[in-house]
Amino acid sequence: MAKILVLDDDADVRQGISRFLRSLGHEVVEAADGRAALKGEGAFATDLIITDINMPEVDGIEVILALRERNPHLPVIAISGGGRVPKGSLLEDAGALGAVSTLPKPFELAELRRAVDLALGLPGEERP
Amino acid sequence: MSRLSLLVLWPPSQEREEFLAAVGADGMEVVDSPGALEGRQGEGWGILLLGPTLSPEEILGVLWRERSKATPWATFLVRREGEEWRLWPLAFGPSLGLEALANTAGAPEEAGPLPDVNWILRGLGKIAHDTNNALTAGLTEVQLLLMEADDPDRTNSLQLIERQFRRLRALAGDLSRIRAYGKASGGS
Repeated sequence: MAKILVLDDDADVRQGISRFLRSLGHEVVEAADGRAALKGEGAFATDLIITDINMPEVDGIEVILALRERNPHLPVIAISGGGRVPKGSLLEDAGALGAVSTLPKPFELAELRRAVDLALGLPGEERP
Repeated sequence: MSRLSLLVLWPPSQEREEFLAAVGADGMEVVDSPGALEGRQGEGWGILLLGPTLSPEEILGVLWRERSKATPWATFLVRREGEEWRLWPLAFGPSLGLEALANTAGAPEEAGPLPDVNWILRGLGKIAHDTNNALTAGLTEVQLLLMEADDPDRTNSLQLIERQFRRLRALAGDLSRIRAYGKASGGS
């Protein structure tokens, strides 16, 4: 079981992802924006962060930069509603900054699970 | 992935054969008369190419029937112009009241300039982004429900909803691609 921070300003998306991760047996902490996520040490005490990129105030790119500074080894999965635009997207930037996976919305839960397993170093079919 | 249907309505002629040879007829259905379109309502959307030898009445008849379909064909008139084949889009828009004539007559003075292309591109980006978020929430929810469903009827219903979300995802992808094309063409 891993502790995962889910960061998305869209409550419906955030709660859906969290429900799925909990169904896999993970512990989930939610945050609605980057500022709240980076406040205190909470974000850094997790095993994995799943962050939206397009958020008001502190966006996902700033979150990734802050994490890289404090804990370069904490895996990050970047998600974005910017669509499957191949070049010049913020999602591409997130990948360049070290996100272990980038998922354009809307993604399938199977895709999300593969990305989570990869980030946590879990074998593909193994449940936590 | 389902393929876009491509249908050619064109009475037999030498010109039709030359057109088909020019575009390659693989995966393309060819029919000879408007009557062949009867009863083809719920087959999904695609592209309908009309040959230039159809009469104006036949073309109007096809467009008139298509106007009421939930998923009408995207219809084009094929014409040879010099050495090139050109496709002219044909469609009935929504019906208008007579006041539209007066509004149109006053348009040059009253209407502002056309919206800036960059403004349209940014609008498309916002629509695509918000649509993708809504689809993520919906698709996630239905897939969570599918994981827990054990009744076959309920599973079938959920799978139908899931398929519709995937169709919408493809449409949202089109919006993103239009925006990407616009940006690549110099927009912002």
